[in-house]
Amino acid sequence: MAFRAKTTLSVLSTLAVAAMGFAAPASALQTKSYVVSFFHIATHSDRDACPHGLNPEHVELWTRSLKGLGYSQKDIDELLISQRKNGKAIQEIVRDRGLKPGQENIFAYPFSAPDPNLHTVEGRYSYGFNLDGKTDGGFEDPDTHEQGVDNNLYKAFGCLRPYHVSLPDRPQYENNAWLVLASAMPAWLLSVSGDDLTKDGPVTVTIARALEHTMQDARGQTLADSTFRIDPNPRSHNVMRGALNGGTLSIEPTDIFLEAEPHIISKLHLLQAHLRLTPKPDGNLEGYIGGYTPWFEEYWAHASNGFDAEESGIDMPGLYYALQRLADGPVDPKTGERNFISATWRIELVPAIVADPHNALAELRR
Amino acid sequence: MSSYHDFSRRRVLRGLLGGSAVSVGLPLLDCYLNSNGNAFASGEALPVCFGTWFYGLGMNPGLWEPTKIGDKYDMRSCMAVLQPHRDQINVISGLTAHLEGGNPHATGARVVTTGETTPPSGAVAGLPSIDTLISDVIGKQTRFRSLEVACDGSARTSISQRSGSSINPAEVSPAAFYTRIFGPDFTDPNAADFKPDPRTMVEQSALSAVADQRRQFAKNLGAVDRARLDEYFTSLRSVEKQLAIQLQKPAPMAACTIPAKGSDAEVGTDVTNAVANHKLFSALIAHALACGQTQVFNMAISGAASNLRRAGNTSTHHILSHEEVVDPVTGYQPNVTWFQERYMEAFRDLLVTLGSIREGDKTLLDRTLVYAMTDVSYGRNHSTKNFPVFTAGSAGGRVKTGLHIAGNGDTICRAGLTVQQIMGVRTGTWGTTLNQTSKPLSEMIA
Amino acid sequence: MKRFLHYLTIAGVAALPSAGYPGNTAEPAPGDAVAVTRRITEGQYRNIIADVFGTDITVGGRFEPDIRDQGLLGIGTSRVSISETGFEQYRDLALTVAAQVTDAQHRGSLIPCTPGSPKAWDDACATKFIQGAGRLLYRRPLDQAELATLVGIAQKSATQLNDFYAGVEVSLASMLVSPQFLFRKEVAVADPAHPGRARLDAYSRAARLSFFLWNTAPDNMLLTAAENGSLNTTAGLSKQVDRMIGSGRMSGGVRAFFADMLGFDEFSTLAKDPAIYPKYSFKAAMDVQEQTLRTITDHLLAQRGDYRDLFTTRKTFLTRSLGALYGVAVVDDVANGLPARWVPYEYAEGDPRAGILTHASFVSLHSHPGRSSPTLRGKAFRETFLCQRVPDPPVNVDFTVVQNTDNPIFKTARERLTAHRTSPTCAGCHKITDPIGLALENFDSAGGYRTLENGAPIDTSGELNGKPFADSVGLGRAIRDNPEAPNCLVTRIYSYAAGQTTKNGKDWIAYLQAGFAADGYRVPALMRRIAVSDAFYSVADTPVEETEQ
Repeated sequence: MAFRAKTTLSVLSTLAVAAMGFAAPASALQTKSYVVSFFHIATHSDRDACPHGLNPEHVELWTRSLKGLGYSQKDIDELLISQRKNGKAIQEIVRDRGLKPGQENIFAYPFSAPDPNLHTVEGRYSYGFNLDGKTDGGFEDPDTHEQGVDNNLYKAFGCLRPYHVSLPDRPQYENNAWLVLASAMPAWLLSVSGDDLTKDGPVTVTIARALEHTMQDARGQTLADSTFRIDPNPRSHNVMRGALNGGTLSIEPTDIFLEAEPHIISKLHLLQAHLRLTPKPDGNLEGYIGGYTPWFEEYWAHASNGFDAEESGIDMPGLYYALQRLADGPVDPKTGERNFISATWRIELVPAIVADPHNALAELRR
Repeated sequence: MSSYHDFSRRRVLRGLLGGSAVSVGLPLLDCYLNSNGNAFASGEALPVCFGTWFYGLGMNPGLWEPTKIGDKYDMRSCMAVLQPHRDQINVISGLTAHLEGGNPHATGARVVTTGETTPPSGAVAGLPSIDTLISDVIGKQTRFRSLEVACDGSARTSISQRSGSSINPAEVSPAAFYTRIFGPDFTDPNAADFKPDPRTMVEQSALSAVADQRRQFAKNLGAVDRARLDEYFTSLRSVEKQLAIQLQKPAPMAACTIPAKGSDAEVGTDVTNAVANHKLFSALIAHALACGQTQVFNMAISGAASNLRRAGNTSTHHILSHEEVVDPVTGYQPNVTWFQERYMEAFRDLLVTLGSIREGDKTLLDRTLVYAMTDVSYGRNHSTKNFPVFTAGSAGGRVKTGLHIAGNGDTICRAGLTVQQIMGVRTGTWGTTLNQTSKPLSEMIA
Repeated sequence: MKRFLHYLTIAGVAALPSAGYPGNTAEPAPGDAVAVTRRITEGQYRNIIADVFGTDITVGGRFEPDIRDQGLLGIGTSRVSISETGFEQYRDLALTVAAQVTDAQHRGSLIPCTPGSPKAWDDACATKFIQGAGRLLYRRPLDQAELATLVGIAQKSATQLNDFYAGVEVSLASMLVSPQFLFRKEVAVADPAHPGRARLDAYSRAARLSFFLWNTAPDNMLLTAAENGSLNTTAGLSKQVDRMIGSGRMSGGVRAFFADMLGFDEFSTLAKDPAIYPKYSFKAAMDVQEQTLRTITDHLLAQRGDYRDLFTTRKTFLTRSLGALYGVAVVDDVANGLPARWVPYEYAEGDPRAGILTHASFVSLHSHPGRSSPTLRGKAFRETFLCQRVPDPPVNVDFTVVQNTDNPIFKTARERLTAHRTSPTCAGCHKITDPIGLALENFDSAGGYRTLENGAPIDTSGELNGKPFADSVGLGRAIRDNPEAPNCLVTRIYSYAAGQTTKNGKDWIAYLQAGFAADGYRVPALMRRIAVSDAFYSVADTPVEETEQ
């Protein structure tokens, strides 16, 4: 499967890439652009993923927390009954569990609660990339069979019930969050430029945020071939070296930053970002993007939903501790702590047109 | 002298039908022509009734859609309890509620009940729900425009709204519902006194005055134009006649009996109680329809994102749909499936009750159309594709029943548009943005 | 607004004859035109309600479908009546409009007086409202009997319901279902200047003019000109026509005509398979019509363009979603691209998308749900733009070869049609449709661009009346240079305006066609030429029975 470039498209996008300082001879350059149509944590939940079982449902989580707070089983049973009736008997107790004076809720101060030691993934497979170069101790990618895959974000989430899924099922929150976000936030764009996109070889990859939102087609899916302008804000603009190999697109490891909307997917922030995208017969791309990401962001994206998220089976302090424990990114020289965790997301894209590079650049220079 | 060719409207209509593009508008036209007017004029047919029936969180894909399209379809496991009623049920598969970024539960339910996808930025969602559009046509002459009941204990579990700010609250207690219908304000349709509606009187008289202008307007018209005008005045006269019939005492309703007052099961979220109250509500609604108190009803066994629960389990149906692990053998969530089966049993109870009221050689169900709907097609992933909806009853012969109709990914609003057109709502399109459609499911229009 | 007038002065008016058939030898007799009675269309109904009561009055509901006759709904309106279902629909519309006009929110501004008490009958106030609204809705002053009837309805209703406004409401609803409102009945009177012939009376003249130019009922100024007789004079008529042609509302009239001529009513039943054409959403189907109508009004009115250049112009207007359908960049400079706007777009020289034939509105409307149709496109081309009649296919034809797009041997439509044409009964018609339609085969059923079908290259060559061309651009040029195209437009636009085709009116049409050419094929000039001519309002003096059977 080859990348097919349309001449009309390449003229426009060529200008963008050339002006950004990654110029190849303009006449020879082909560019193909895409807009992200799906994005969520890459899960691969086979039978062996969680040998100790999944993490408990919320009633058991509550029961554990209440026990820890000194409630008797009889008290707990009564609370559960009134929770059923009024929908809030337990809510405040849980929200305030273990708080110290001046702290507002446990979701903002997860470290005030004890670590419930949630189960984490122990299976063999995970989508992702070998970020640290070591082949021992990591996962095996089920598609590429690369060894030493580092994806501790999946390790932390994969035994939570809402994340115990495999394609074609998607993790429910992120599935819903993305559907909501996709038509409400400026789109994420990806452009590939090279001398001949039908052949293997080096390319330039741009990942940027658009000014426009995506639109939907007659099937309710992301509309292909619509036009986007690049957001002139340089913060969400990433240009990197990449390569086509057997049609598969990859990049040389680099840092990536993309702003999103502050819900479950608040941003994409990666150190040593890796990318693997494969074209499909319909012209779309699908694959994975990974790297080291700030784990507290991932925690807070969920925890900021508070009680609702816990009620769906995520013990927030438990998630906090798991992410902290599994953090495997670089050590912050100031604090001596690891603020980043290895991570991989599923990413799907449809063809798009990237236009108006001049405006974006003019804004940039201002 | 006239420059016109020999011309008749019927011929033009035939011409249109004979062409390659069969007009979608025509089944609607036929449905009016076949039903309106003669039903009233004959004085025999009882009025049609419409009901919505709502259940939360959809059904397991692969376990409810019949494999066979058309009649004599196979009732699948999720709907197995409805097998004896198959020939009165149309299963509609393959349609989608386009979300366009909306929350699945809220948007899914809104699309299926009001056709509205996402309100324009800053605006409150608030198109009228399908039952109010229908009650505007068939519910004006009855004591209650419509009756709303919910079996989950919440008055807000109601799909019926005039606008976003005017939701028709649901009755949650069968005992209170009994008093509302059969209490002191009950008007016996078979009682001696009858008072015609003054508004209908003046409208009828106004139409009659317009009709009297025929002679004046026909002046100077050639023969062909005069024939066209005659057709217009014939149409006017027949609408005037319909109004005149409404001013007469209605036909007696032989099947009207006043039921005995029962007592509620505990009102709340336990699904066992909800099913028990659903049975009581079904009986009361059936009697209310048989006694001409209303022609429109809305029932909900649960709300969107159903919060019904199984005794002894704190998790609601909705929470289970998020949390429960899929059975590795069946591929489905076992407890969630259990809820789906209870809902379908409740729907069966409603059909049995409506079918048990005999009106001559027919039953109350025969002159009713029930549209069963939900908020998402599959609770597990909150998908809104392949939306499980179905209808029951033939609305006095307006609906072809016993069919499985398979859509091709079009909007679920096609089903809602069809139902409206069958009930006489004069609309050619329904739904907003991606959910807008002008294509009814002509397969089920008689 | 001014620019239209300006243009007419330099290019149109100078070439116009002074109105005054048949004193002016340049204007021949119009043939045996008759006074017609037309049902108002949905668009006209909506325009009238908005003009008389304001745009915030909602006109919801469904209208009885119009019927196309001899290529135009505008002629069909002279043939249709109102069915029982249709009457119920008009009654529902009337009741909802009347309820809004008299509700607490609107009555203050829309009812020109306040009754003594809202609960009591007020004869003067009701009469004033009914007279005023009646004049605009019936397009002439109410006669004594009509006024008495309508006031009587209002009084009876107000008294019975103890509500003045309810009375007015019922009376207004009665007007809106009356034949005087729903039908445009033209009245002929003896023509004093031309014994033996008749002409439309001044109110019928005003209505014909207004529905033609603006697609709505006459406004107050036009009715006044009819009332005081000036509309029957050459100068008075010209003055009103120039006022109307100079108004921005002309675009409403031009759009209504072209939407009719192009058959856009058929979009309401057009279906595309979303699995094959995912970009062809309901919104896109709406946008493709608007694209063409915008292109037409911009070219003909704002740019004062030559009608024939509509077939070659590379200028159009697109939205972002249409850009996706066509696969071209559409940049809107509004923040976030929301709400979607119409952006001017010009295709590059040599681009296959030149002219309105290449718009999705044409190629998608004349296609099947899952495949294109050179035959339907060729047929529509000849019937719509050349006023030719292509017969329907005979019954019992085997279409298997044409329909099977998976055929491993016949990969392109051209190959399939060639195989199909081996039957001599089919060949005759396909010969006149297919060479045209095949030139548009680069556009799929949804209007998207393609160069291959089933992997095989598409050959878009063809010919029109023996003139060969290579592709869609060549086809556009061929029809642009075909004299039958502007001649057809003249025939259509006159029939649309008059609600009938001409009978024995060859000279009249030839006169208009010559004028159209002399005006450089400017459509507003053609419309003016028709509107200011006496011939347009002249009808055969046909006696009709005065008595009621």
